[in-house]
Amino acid sequence: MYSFSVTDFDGWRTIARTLLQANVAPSNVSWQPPEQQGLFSPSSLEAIIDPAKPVSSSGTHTIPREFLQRAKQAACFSDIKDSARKWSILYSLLWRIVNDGKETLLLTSDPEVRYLDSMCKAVSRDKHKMKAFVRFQQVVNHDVEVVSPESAEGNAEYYVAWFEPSHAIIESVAPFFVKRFTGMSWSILTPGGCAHWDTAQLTLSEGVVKPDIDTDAFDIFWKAYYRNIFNPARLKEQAMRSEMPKKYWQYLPEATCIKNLTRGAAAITAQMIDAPATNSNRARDKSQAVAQFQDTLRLNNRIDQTTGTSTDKPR
Amino acid sequence: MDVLQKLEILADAAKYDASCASSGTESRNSLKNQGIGSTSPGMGICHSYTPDGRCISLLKILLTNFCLYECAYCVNRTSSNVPRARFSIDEVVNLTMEFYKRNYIEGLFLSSGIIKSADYTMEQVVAVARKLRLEHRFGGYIHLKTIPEASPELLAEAGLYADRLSINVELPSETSLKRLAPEKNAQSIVRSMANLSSGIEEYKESKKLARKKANKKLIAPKFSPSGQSTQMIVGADTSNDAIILRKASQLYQSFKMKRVYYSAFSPIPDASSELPLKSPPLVREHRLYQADWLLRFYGYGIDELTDVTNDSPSPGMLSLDVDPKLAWAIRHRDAFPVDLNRADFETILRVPGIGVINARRLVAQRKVAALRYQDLSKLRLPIEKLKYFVTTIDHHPKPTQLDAANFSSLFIAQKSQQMNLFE
Ligand code: SF4
Repeated sequence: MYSFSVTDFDGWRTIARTLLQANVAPSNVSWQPPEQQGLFSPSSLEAIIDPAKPVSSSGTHTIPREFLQRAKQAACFSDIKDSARKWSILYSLLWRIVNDGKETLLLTSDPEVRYLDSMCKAVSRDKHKMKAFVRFQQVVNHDVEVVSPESAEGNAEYYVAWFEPSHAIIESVAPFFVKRFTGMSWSILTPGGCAHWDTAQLTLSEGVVKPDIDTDAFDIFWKAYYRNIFNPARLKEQAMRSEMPKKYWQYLPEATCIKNLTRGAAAITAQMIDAPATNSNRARDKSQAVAQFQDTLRLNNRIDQTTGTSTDKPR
Repeated sequence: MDVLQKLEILADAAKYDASCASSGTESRNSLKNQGIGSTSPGMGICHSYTPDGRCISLLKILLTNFCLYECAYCVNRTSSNVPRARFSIDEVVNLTMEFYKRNYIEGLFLSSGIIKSADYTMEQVVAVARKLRLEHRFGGYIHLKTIPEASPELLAEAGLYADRLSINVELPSETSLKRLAPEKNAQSIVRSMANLSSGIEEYKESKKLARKKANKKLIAPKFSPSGQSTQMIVGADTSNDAIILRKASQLYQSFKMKRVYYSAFSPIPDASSELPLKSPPLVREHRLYQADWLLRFYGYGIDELTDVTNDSPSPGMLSLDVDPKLAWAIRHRDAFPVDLNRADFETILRVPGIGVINARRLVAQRKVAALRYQDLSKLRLPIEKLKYFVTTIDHHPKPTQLDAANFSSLFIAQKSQQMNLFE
């Protein structure tokens, strides 16, 4: 039995490649979370390759790119119950792909394929939600301690966001924010790691605890927008909640408006429905100028419509 | 009036336009010009949701809600008794930049009431986009609502900065347009849509050619890379669903529309006497979107989806009780059950509850091993709906069920509770 402790995708890949070449079956490998390192001493890779045994027939294997991409994504997955499980499933799948062919990945009802699928889905969803719900706050006061000093210095405008993703995605989503917010300095702080951008350089640093960030004074505009773009006649709270689960509300300044909007919706709608209709000629009757303007347009309208093959040409 | 008050009025004035989703456009980022903003060919991101379940991805506002037109379904028509406001160009530019920098939005959706003249108004709208792109190096998404009567030169300049341009067709028939939007002109709408369409096509072609010849110089000046879209108001006139869908198909075909948005006119403050008293059920709008999707991606025909039976109580309409795909299957029970292990892809696609992705999965999976009933639940397919329509090696629905006279009530009973929520 070999035992390995892995922290990231690259580490897993190096080990997996060697194991595969030495033809070590998944049942002979145990993957350990990094904390356990002291308990089992990790096997050294050289020891695996037994010089007496021939290296597996093909020597190097071609692994479908799609699998590697998905494995890389799954590597960000944090399984609360069993943090090393993903590595053993990934190795097992790799083993099966090499031995049974890449059709293995098509077995959508296979438990391991499904686990890979669900890990990828969870990670990609988490990334997506992070791109959507990170909210930058402009900070005037730069002595937020958690911020790397280089990124704060000398910049008039500086933005900070606090977010708690469910998976270890900060490194893989940071480039998205760099490409989008290139021209400004910012930090995204999370418990599992932070990303800082100073308009030229991306730096990653250790995770932090939730910092105290002053509310951005600009919030009031965003909340005003949120309140007014809402259509009370179409209240569909459940649809909102399923797309924007409550656990994210803490990051969203606009979430504080939800309760009042929902509560008042029915009354406002009833009011609109009950209000008497307005005569469509109200403005024309009141203002000569408006009537004239509209008449010209209506006339043009008619002239335009009679060009071409129209049959009702005025005679 | 301060900017905050204007924002309140001009967001409120914009909320009835449904065509605001930011969607795939060119892939763009700010690395090169050190600006702010990026876009991608995938879907835009929804940064928030309002309690009406709608996604907020763009700052959707009007430049002004003063308007000289009298479109009966619109809250901004001249005779409407709502507070009015007008943004300056800089105010819109600043709001867009500040919202964007805080990651509230993907970009701007700007439209405007018509003041002074079509060209004057359009010029202001274009000026906002120009300033964002050229002065602020803004790389986010921009959607401009174009005024059909504006000059082609202005539309061309709008295309330079906007990811998407749109012109609302508003109503499915010319007669309705004349009656409900008397200042609008069906001819200029068509003419401008055609202009946009050819501009978009030219730009696309030039990009293709440039790629083929590996010569970037061949790329024509930018023109609305994300194409054009339009919106149709539902329920303000008597057009049935078949008429609406026919109009939509025609728009998709003639002008290569990216999307046709359907908007059930909703109660608005200060409604016009020209409107019907009751707004249509929102579920009708929902069914139109479903049917639109089936027409474009599933190969259904309009007559297959709408009710064309003789002496039907609702001729030309989609069923409100069940979705159009299920409704079709109920009307064509003789085509079911479908053997999932044998049927071709197109046939599987017609099974209620199986979408394109799952149809593909099933076809791939049965090559490895014959499909069993439990495979369906593993794929998380809606078994309750599905079970009547398919066979697998270990599942054969009773033929009597499909043939039963009250078959459709099986689904309506399940659904009716949910329906109340929509109405
Ligand atoms: S032109 Fe018609 S639809 Fe547009 S804002 Fe004016 S009244 Fe409304």
